[in-house]
Formats: sequence, structure tokens, C-alpha cells
Amino acid sequence: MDMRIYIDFKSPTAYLAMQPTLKLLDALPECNARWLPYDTRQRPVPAAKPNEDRSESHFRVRAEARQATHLYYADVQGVPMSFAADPGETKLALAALLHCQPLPLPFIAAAFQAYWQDHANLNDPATVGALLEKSQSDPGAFNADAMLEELEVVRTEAEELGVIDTPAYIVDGQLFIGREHLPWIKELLTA
Amino acid sequence: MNSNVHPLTSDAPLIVYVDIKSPYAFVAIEPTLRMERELGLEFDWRPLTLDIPSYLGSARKKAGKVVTSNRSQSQWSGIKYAYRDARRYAERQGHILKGTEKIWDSSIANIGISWTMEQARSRLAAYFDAVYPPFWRRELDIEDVEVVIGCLEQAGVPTEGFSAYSEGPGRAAHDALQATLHPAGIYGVPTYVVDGKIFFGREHLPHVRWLLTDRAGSAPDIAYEL
Repeated sequence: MDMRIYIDFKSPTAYLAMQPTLKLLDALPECNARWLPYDTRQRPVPAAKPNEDRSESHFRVRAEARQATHLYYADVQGVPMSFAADPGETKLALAALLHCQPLPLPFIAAAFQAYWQDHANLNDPATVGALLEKSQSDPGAFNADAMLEELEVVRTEAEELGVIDTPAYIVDGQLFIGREHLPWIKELLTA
Repeated sequence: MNSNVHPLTSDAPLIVYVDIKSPYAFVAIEPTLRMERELGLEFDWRPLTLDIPSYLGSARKKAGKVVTSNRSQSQWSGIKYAYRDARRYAERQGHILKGTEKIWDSSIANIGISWTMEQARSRLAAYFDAVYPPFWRRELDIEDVEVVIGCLEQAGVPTEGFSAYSEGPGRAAHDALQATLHPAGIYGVPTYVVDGKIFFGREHLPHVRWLLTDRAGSAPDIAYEL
């Protein structure tokens, strides 16, 4: 069975989904997984302000809690994780992910590691080129402009399928956002 | 519930915050009750009445169509996915989950949770059963105290004094608790608090169970239990 998996390197939930998703795929060698980019919007945790209104307070508390939860489960998984003060952009690395098809996993691993351990700028051509080289892809063959255009096409397709965040899994016509759905996804893939 | 409840501490091993009008709380009820039963524990169930317009904008529907809204496109996309997602899990549990036509004030029905905890703790699951499924089939007006009293009666919970409680001490305790939640780091439902650690969402149930059972074996990652 086929499965599409949308990821973004700056998405903490996508990063933490890698280990359990790869474990699932290892157990299901007949599953044809296609890893695709989806540029998410990540915001830094807002600072507390005096006289916050209810809405400001909600967004700050939620952002703080989510970050704490991500770090907690990174520890559970034994995965190094450090939040940058500014999430930055990852468009160029996401375009490079398209370049790395159909064997993107070495690049994905390198890009996630660079972002979450070293706070690398994944929108920087030199950084992305080095990651391509590290993952045995030819950086010279990477046509950034064409792949950035393709990234927008992939994004439009994803949004037509209802994707709004990562990791997003599409399997058997169903969209699942988040690794918490892996038990149901496994059920579908093994049905 | 008195007005001095601390949001993160309890005599119970686990605090569970829920709201009747939350679809995610609805689908969390059964697995959380199951865990409580299987572990032979009594959790401290508490109301968290969501102020949805403060973070998701507001909207009102009539005959399935949105008639007023101040929500952005991305808010609508998120809400639509959330309802679809909650609905498919509700269906796996044998329930119907229809999108609401307006943002309900669920405080009276939520005060019913505190009342049940105080008056007839053993009937709490029955109260949830009397409120959640029919509300999500759009059969209950949970803003009507008489409707909530009917649910309490159906669940076998004494109702004498509930009306006054819901306007007096129950309301005061409810409102006081709500004011303490953001400062404590609690913002949504279902929220689980174990040993002062906060977990938002039923995807944490495997991990919460692990924490409640002396951390036996390796620590589980998040997952929705099927």
C-alpha cells in the first residue's frame, strides 16, 4: 500500500515523528512511503506581557506547553532537540527534499539533525548544499529555482488534500496529522 | 469543589480536565474511564470551560450554513480537520459526533461534573454518558439548567439543590478554578495532570498509564489508543 508523508524540518512534531514512523515502515517493507515537503508556519514562543488579554494568554500558555511537551518526548525518545529562538525558514531544504527523490531518507535525517541539533539555517544555499553532499546527493545537480516552484505545486496539492500541518500522513484516502495516529495508520497498512 | 482548589495538586493520582463542548474531550472520556477502571483508581475529574472565541474566533451556523463568523481561513481549516478527526474516532467508539451550530456555554453542564464528584462520585461515568453522547448528537440544550438536571437524574445523581449550587457555590468554585488554569499552564481539554506534570490530549494516555503504574517497561511515546 502507498502512503504519503508530509514533513517540514522546522516542525517539532515532524521531527519527533521520524523515529516512530521509520520503525513502522521497517516493520512494513511492502509499504511504499513517499516523503514530501510541506512548509509550515512556526512561531517563536511569545513572551509574557503585563496585562495580557485572554487570547494572548491562551496563545502564550499553549506555545510554552507545547514546547515543553516536545522536549519531554524528545527525552523519552532519546532524540536531541533544541529550539532556536527564531524558527527561521526551511523552504530551500524542503525544495532539496524534492530533488532527493526517490531516496530522500539520508537527506531528511541530515536536515533534521542540522536544524534541531545545530540550529542550521535551512534556507541558506551553502548549508543546504553541504547537507546534500553529506547525504550523497549531488548538490551541483540541484536546480533550486525549479524545485522551489515544484515546492509550491506540492503545497497546493497537499492543501487540496486538507493538509494543514506536519507530519501529515495520507493513507487509503484518509488524512492523519500527527504521529499519535500511527496505530490507526498501521491498521490501515496491514489490513 | 471548593473555591481554593489548586489546579495542579490533588489527593487523587491523576487530575483530568474536561469540557462537555469539546469534541476532543468527548472522544477522550471512554479511554480515560477505561484506564481509571483498569487501574482501580479514582481520578480527580474537573471542569475546564473553554473560552473558544478567545483563541479560535467565533461563528454561528444555521441549517448547516455559517451565518456569522470572524474566523480566518486557517482557523476554519484547523477546525474542520479537528472535527473530522474527532468524528472518525467517535465513530470507532460507536458514537455520533455532529458539528455544533454555535459555541455553547457549557459551564452549567461542567458544574454538573463537580456536583457529581461531590454528591455521587460513583455515578460520574453515568453522568458523562447522559450528557456527552446526546449533546454531540445535538439533542441537548446544555445551557438549560433543567436539561442538566435531567441528565443528573438519568445518571442516578441526586439533584436537589443543584440549581442553587450551579448559580452559587458551584458557579463560584468553577469560575475561581478557571482563573487559575492559564497561570498554571493549562489551556485545553482533555488535560491530564500527574505529579504536577501537565499533558494535553488523549494521545498521552499510554504515557500517563505508564507513569501511574510505576514506570514499568520503557516509556511510551504518544499514541491514540484504538
